Amino acid sequence: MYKPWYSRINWIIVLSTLLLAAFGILMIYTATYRDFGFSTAGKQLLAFFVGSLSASVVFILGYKKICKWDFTFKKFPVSIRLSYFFYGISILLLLAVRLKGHSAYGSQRWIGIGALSFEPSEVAKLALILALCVFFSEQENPSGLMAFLKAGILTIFPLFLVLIQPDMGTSILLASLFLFISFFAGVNPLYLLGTIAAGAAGMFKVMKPYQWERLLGFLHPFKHPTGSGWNLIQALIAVGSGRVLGKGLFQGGQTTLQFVPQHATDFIFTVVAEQLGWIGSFFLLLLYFSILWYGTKIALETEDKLGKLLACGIVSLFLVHIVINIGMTIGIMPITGIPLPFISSAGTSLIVNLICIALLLNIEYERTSLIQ
Amino acid sequence: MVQEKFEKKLKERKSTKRILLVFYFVFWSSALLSFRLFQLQVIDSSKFQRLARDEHTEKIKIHALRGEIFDRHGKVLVISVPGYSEAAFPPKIKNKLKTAETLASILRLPVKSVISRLSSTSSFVWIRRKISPQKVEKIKKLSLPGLELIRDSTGKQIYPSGSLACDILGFTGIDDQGLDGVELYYNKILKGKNGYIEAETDELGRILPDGKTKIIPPVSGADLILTISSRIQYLAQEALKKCVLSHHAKNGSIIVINPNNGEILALANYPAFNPNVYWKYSPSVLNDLAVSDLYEPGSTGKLFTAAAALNSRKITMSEKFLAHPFINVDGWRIHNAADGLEPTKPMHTIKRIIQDSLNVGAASIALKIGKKTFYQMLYKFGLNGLTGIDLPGEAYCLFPGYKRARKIDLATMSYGQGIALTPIQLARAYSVVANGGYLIRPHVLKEAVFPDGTVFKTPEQKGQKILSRKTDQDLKYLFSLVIKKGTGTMAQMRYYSAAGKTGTGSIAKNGVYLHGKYTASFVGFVPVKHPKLLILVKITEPQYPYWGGTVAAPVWKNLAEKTLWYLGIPPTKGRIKISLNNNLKDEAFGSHSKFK
Repeated sequence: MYKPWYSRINWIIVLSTLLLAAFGILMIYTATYRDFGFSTAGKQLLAFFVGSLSASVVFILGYKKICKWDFTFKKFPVSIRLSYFFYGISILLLLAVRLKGHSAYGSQRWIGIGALSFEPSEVAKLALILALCVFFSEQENPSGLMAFLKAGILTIFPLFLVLIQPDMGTSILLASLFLFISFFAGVNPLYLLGTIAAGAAGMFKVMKPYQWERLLGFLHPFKHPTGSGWNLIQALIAVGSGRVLGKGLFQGGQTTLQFVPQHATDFIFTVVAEQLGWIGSFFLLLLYFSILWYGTKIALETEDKLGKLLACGIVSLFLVHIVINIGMTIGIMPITGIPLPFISSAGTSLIVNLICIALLLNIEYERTSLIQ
Repeated sequence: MVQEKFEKKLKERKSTKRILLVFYFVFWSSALLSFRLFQLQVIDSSKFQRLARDEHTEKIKIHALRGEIFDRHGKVLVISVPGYSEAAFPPKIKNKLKTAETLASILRLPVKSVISRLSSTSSFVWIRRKISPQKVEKIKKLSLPGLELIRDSTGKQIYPSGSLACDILGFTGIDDQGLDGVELYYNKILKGKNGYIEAETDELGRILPDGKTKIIPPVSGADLILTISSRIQYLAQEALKKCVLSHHAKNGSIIVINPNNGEILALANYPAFNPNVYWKYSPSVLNDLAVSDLYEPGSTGKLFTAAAALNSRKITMSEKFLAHPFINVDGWRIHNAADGLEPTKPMHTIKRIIQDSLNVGAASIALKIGKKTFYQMLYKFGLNGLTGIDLPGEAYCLFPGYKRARKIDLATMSYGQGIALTPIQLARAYSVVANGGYLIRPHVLKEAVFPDGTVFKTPEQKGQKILSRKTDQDLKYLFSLVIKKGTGTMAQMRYYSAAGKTGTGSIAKNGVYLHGKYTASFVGFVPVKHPKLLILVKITEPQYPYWGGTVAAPVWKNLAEKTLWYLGIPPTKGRIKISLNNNLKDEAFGSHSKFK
């Protein structure tokens, strides 16, 4: 007996996602209407439509096809797995950014398409997840050292290209994705600890004092209130002054008046916290929590190895984003340029996140189709 | 085959276990984030709210008007000058053109500049600051929306009487803060509370066009009513000036105090300064010598010896002491001072010792009563602390510590050498004798009137009783002898019985007493029975003759007489026929003509 299609979709995740996206557009509007009117929020809305469309396509195709569909060129006797193809494309895009991208805030991350711009490192996140999941699911001995090393090589290319942009936040994110997926694939935890230790040692070797200062400035923001501590102090003031009920939509001078830098993108959480208070931020956390919780549940229930791994990868992608982003605005994480999923004004990120949700939903959809 | 299946299951279970870890991650990180948010937004929120408000508002200060100062009769001594400024809140103005035209015509400003100000994008602008009083009246009558006349302070204090009471009043600096005198001592209640115009700003500090504005009006400072009498102060300052100049002295001080409650009626130093232009004077002139200048009082210090001896009942009034010609103490030889009268016999009672100011006699008494009794009396007079006068810069007494004091120290202190105190401390000590034995607190503040109408009055404190009634009467008698037939005969008044003591203190520099340099002083109260007035005159380094009895006593007499007449205190001796005595009439009513 087949279940009807609508009962095979996790509507809680869908609802949370739609609420988050709508919430995000509203917040972006309140943060930028003073300077840009509706244009920034409009771009986000556009990205939402594009993202929903792509997500629907992905959902209809199904995660198995997306990951494992081999297609062959007619002229050449070579077949390429779709996930690796995406991976290759993302590497090429990152190279393109290196060569032709436009830079902002001291790093080169975007490619312009007309009036819009496109951020390949966001695509690289998803591409890496797909590639790693497919790779591990097809290994005979995924917990072995060889598999781990090969996966490491897969990761190192996008990681390196992102690192030289330079984009510290995304690099850390890619590295942690690699570690998470390896962990779920069953790699010996000692290898992972070894990698972390090696990475930390490398950081000690390469990083200059001012970079450390910037990375660890969050521990004592009031030491340099107008320098490295400025962003965090302003963010803390915004969050703290929102109190329990917030100052109300379109109120709140901290964020509407640009006291908080990057308040529409990386620091968008301050807008939520200042305008809607603890109630609003808690509601936001609750929405994220429901996605993560049900995402984990999907990972647990799926029998399919690929599906399991993919769900885990996507959940960890969201989790790391959320913890680092919100954590940095409330002073418990270093400040890095990582967007808040669905809320930050970042079109590419929104599209990729919606596709991730589609994949997550599809994993459960496929699983329930097997029950007869 | 079975084993393989088992292994596979085992592996699956392992991966399930690992996935379960994700639940923990998700749960605990969410918990951590919500807890931290709770901490920021609920527990510490007020701190951040305050920080946010500080950042978003530009505070334009409106200076509070400083309190004014009056003398005891209500004569104004310090005037604060208010200033008016016209502020506009452009978003609230409806008819900008009409408003601009009216304002421009009243303030005599070009219409264009007013319009450009009114059409500014900021939510608050000044139209004009420091508007003259006539224009203020006109503007007050207008009632146009979006305009506000703000009473500000020009930060300027005017001292209309110039140098009158300059040492008491002090002066204020550029930022409206008191720098000396009462202006400094009562700065907190005089300065009031500044008001603000609060306007919302953006991150670069520009005032927002649609921001909220708020006016918090300033609260003026309290007006002070002092115990000073301008008239007596004037008399004191003139008398002091005349004396210092005629004797070519270095400086001088006069304190006129009501010994019964410690109210200071006049306090003068010469050279004086004009507080309106205080920056033109050297610091030594600005110094309030009467409360900060330590000097060795000389014979006026015999008060402590006499008080200690009589109050402890270790001597009697008729007991005789060696008073002539010298006494040896610890190998030092003490002579009588040249200003004392020459004693006729070697042994004398305390009456003659005080009356003729015999140093040897005083030393004999001090040596007899001992160090302990003497120091107890010094402490009783509060010489180990401050008088608590409400003027800044009061100095502490200087004398050898009890344990360190040798016999010779005691002997010299008995006649006022080797002990240094300030004029106000000595004036207080003599007030104790005058008022029947109570240690009063000298003060210059009578009342403070706050802008909300509340009045603070200096509480009437009788003070601690430190001398017995008998001692007090004996001391009054001894000091009246000084004026009657002793060293202070030049202070004798025709119509009032007075008591006092002369003093000619040697001035020490680098441990050596300077030759020919003395502090001449006279301190006394009047009338003897129920003293209404205590005056201390101190002249530093007058030229020969430098005796307290010749330099300070006449000044004391003149000032006391005039002040008594001015206060309307009835004569205590002599026969007065007001209608017939032209001379007296002059002194009573026309005397001030001399001081114009």
